[in-house]
Amino acid sequence: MKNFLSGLKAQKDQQRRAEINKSLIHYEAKLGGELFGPVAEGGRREFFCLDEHTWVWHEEWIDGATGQRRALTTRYDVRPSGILKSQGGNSYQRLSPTEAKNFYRVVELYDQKVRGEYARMLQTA
Amino acid sequence: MNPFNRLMSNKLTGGNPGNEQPPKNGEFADGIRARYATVERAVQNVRNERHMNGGDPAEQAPAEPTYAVPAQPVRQPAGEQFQPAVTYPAARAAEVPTNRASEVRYNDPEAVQTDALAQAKAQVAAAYAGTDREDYGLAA
Repeated sequence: MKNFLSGLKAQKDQQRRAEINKSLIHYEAKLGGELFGPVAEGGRREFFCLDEHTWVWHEEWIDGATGQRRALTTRYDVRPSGILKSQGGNSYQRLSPTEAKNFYRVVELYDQKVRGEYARMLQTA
Repeated sequence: MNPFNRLMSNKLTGGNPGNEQPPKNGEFADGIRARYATVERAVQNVRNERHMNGGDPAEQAPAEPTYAVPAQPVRQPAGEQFQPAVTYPAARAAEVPTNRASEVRYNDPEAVQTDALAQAKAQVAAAYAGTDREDYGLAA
């Protein structure tokens, strides 16, 4: 019975840690989305680090021609041999030099922004 | 409650405070540290990739080469070819001085002295050539 209860508590703690981690990712996604400048009205942008090797950029906007809502998720896989991106169901492709330059730049900005934000939170937490 | 705690509380309670206990401060701190450790490794992986794959593409072709050409030739052991310490582009390689006589002149103090003396002697000899004045043996 004791083992069962401690197992249940461990499971609950793990679930709670996962929830906190997920919420932090959502929070970073919002911060990351602000790094690219203003978002068009009705649009939404998120950019975040998913894990040690993956970054995600999600953009939603209203198509001016059709008035329909569109969304595009780009996933960047960082590998020692280079950075590959995939969009939707498309296969992976290498970044163009300009895109790679922008990616490096935004990752550094993300790091600065998130580090500063977390340091501030840890002071008040 | 700070903005982050409020955010977390909303996230964990589905925006309805009271549904669930908001996370304790210690949990936030641990969660933030764990999460930032992941971000830090991810950022480092990007930097490593950038370094391994030639850096920033915009920095790959500078308008002017940034390598330094030695101010004076470097003395090499006899029989060995001049090898610059850094790799020079082929177009610039020809500009690297390889004159062995210069190397000796610049780098061997004894050779410099001997050379200076020989030059002085030659100048004196030239100055007194065709005259009756004594050269005090300098030109000898």
